[in-house]
Amino acid sequence: MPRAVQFDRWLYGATLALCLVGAVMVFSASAVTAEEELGSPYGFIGRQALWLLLGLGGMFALMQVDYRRLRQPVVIYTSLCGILLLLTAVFFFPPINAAHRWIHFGPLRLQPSELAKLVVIFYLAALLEARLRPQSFGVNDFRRTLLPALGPVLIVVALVVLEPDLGTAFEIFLIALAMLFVAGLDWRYLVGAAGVTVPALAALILAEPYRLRRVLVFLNPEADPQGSGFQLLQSLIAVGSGGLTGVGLMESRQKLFYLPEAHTDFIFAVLCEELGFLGALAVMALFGIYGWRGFRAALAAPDAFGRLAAVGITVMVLGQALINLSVVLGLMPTKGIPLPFISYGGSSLLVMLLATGVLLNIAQHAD
Amino acid sequence: MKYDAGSAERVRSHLRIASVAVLALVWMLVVAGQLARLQLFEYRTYLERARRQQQRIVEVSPPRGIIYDRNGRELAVSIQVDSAFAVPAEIPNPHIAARLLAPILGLAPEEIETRLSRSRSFVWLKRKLDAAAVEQIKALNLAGIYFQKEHRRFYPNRELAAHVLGFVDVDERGLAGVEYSLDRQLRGQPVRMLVLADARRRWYDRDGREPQRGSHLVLTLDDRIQYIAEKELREAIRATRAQAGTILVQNPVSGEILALANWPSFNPNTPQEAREAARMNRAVSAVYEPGSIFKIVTLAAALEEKRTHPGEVIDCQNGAIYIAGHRIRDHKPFGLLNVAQVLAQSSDVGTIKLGLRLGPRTLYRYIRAFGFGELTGIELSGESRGLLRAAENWTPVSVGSISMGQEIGVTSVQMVTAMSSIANGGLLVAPRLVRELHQNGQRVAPERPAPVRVISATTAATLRRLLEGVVLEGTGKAAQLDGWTAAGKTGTAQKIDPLTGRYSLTDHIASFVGFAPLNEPAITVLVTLDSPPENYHGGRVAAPVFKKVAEQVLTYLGVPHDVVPPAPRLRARRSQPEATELSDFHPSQRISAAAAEAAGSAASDAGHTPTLALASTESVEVPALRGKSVRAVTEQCLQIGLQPVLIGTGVAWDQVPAAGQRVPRGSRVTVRFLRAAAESTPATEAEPRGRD
Repeated sequence: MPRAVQFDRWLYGATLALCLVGAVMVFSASAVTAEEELGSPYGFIGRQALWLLLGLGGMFALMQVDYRRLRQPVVIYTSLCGILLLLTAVFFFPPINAAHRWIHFGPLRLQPSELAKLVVIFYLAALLEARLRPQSFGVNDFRRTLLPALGPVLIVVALVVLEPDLGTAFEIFLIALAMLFVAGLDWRYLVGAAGVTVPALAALILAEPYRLRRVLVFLNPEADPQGSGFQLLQSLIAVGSGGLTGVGLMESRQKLFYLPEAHTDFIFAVLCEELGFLGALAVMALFGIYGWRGFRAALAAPDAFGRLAAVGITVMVLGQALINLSVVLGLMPTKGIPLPFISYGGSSLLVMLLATGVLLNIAQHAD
Repeated sequence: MKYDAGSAERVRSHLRIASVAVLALVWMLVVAGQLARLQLFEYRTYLERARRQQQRIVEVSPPRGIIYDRNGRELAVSIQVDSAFAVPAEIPNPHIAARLLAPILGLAPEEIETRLSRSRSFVWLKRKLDAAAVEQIKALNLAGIYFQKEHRRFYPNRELAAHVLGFVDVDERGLAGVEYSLDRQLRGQPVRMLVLADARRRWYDRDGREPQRGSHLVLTLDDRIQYIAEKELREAIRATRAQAGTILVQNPVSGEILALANWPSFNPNTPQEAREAARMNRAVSAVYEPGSIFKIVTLAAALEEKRTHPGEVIDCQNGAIYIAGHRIRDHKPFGLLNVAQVLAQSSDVGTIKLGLRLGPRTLYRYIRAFGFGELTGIELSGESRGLLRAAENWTPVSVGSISMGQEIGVTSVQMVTAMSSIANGGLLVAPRLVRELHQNGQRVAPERPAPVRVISATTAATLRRLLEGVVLEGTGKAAQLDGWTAAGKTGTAQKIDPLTGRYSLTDHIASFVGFAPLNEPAITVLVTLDSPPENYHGGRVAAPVFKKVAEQVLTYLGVPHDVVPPAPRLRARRSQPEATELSDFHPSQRISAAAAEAAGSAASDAGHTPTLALASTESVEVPALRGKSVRAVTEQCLQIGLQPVLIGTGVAWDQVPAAGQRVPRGSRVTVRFLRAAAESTPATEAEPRGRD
């Protein structure tokens, strides 16, 4: 019987530190824009603080809940149905920036695609654990395991692609793939998945001119420094001009209207500029700690559900962070993906903190 | 079996978790590597790029110091104007933009396009535009075109004192005149100001100090004396058809230059439109053989060395003398003349004899002592030291030639300074143009070398009397002033033909240098006219100009008359038309009782009560002067023959007699000026005009 151990201080500490860095950086990066658009420099950070409190509350609550209660079918299937409903509902809300990503509850805006990541993780963890039982069919049974596993996931992915939010869709797919891989997916399927994914991505990219442009710009940002390459180039200038120790907190010049999305997707560029290489490395170290403790929790988890859920959550946080960093540093084409815990955005922060709550609980049950 | 299967599954699962973790670690290392590359290894490149787009280095030249005349009237000011620049990266279509801008900027479209391709971030389109062009460009509403405030030098009086003031280039760097020689002080501290710009090109921060404004410069010039000198020079050039000319007016005691006029002249607002010759400051740069005016030096040396005395009779040998086998002919065959007459008649032979008595070394010493052969130190660039060979290099003929002003090259400013030293009692005072500099409210007067005694006061007094004789009965009779004593010397020098290296038979430099009044000289005036074609004698063409200038200037300065002005009837007999014209500026003897009453107390300050009222006097109508500038009032009054008495500075406020009244020509018109800005409290602002 697994025994309860002390909660994971490393994971907990890294998460709180990331949230703190996030709050500071959102304020720094958004103050001028907030003053411009909302009339007060605290416009964005105020909202973010509310989400942070909500998220921390949720995290503390989930830390106390035994994660195994989450695998009950009533939880899993209710949340799956709920998320499909929400993902459908977004299309009935007015688009923002020509994208249906948000559901509005009065002043609150919720991004169901963020929540969908969590739902997918628990659904897959529960399903795969059932299939991994000794008398069961195993992971590689296409009809009985892969089809029920990937069917709902692909529907979710498809709905997110339609929003359109290719970045998040790609991420959900990545999480699912990682969980299946850890569950013991046969290499043949992996190769097959790659064979399906690459052409699918290529088709999706070619279908939308702006995506194609982003890719082309990524390959050669100097070709059009004032146009599509602007964002990436400005990001690189911000990062590069930070140097070893940065220009100082609040002192970023690039955030002043040079760098679009300075407080959301490109907040890491502002961080690099203000805090320099050392600051950026420290933030990466925090993510590293998160990853270390997350994978450690997965390895120590007493059961397959805990193990797979821990992997899913860790891959979600770490993968999203790495994708975001890669984009900011010009290693990947531009995608609209926020940096976990740090970027401005309530839904993302809330989901990350809830997931961390579950992860902390799993870590407590290590055997 | 169950357990084993579960265990094997677990092991495989753990391996796969580990491999995912390793994958993440590798990815993280790649990201960290990229971070290091950008922030550590390419830091400088990106910092440079960041600076380039965020900062604009703007050369902010502080407004250049104002140049004033001695009475605080502005001669050169800096005004704010707009300069247009482009940020080519923001211009969507440079081709069209260039074609739209070309007609406004007066440039070829291709030229503009070339400029736009030169830089992506900043390029000047045209500096210092006029307001109309700015409006037109703004109306085009083109993206990427911006304006920057700059200062432009403006010379409100156009040609007035152009050679003294000089001019500046588009960056307000002085290129000539005091603008050049005092550029450092006038310019102040230009600051390369760091301006940070955000992506919407709003400037949000300014690093760096405020630029330090340049010092204001107060010249010794008096704009009205300058005006008189230029007007009379222009008139003389027109009348004599000379190619060029110079008039200098100096205060002989202080050495201050009150007026420096050259012809041809130029408008310093548009110096590029003037010929090189017009921009040349002849007064300090042109070197010429002085001819007879140089005899004052020979005479001074001979008197000081006690080699002669005014009454000594010298045989002028009927106009010819042999020196070292060369025959030198006088311009007239004189017989026996005393020294006073030698100077008055400008006998070459007589002067040569005095020079021979001195010998080369002594003569050379005096020439140097009077400041020839070296820079006077006037605050202008391009000054020439003249041509003077050391006494060792003189030929046997030289002492004779130099005694009468040949074989030596001088500048006008050297000549006037030498004459001033005789006028002031024997002290050589360095000529000066700068009274003081005003820096941050502090007045700084430049240091001056102490005056150097050249001849004793006695010798100077003797010489002044001899020079008066030149004007009273010698070659300079045309320089006689109505109402003041005067002294001076005429000069008629043959120019050296640059083609043959010999004296030209046709081209002469006619000159006159003199001072007045005799005993307490207030001004030294030099007039040179270069190559008047017909009448080229200094006594005929230059002396009358001296008279015109000196009379107006002495009147303006309020110098009391020291002789009873000749009766009008006497003057009426004179045939020279300019004499009558001159008298128009001479109100004292013509002023009518009515006009005197109208002018009130102003008329009595000269100490001359009007004695005559001629029935035949031409009368003129007093113009309305209210609202006009000091300059405009002076000009208008002098033109119609009224003598302006100006009180205060600024804009004309009221006048006596009133506009429309008829008064005799030559009457005084007293005009009170108020500063325009302080019309509400005129009493406190109106200050009496200083006269010195």
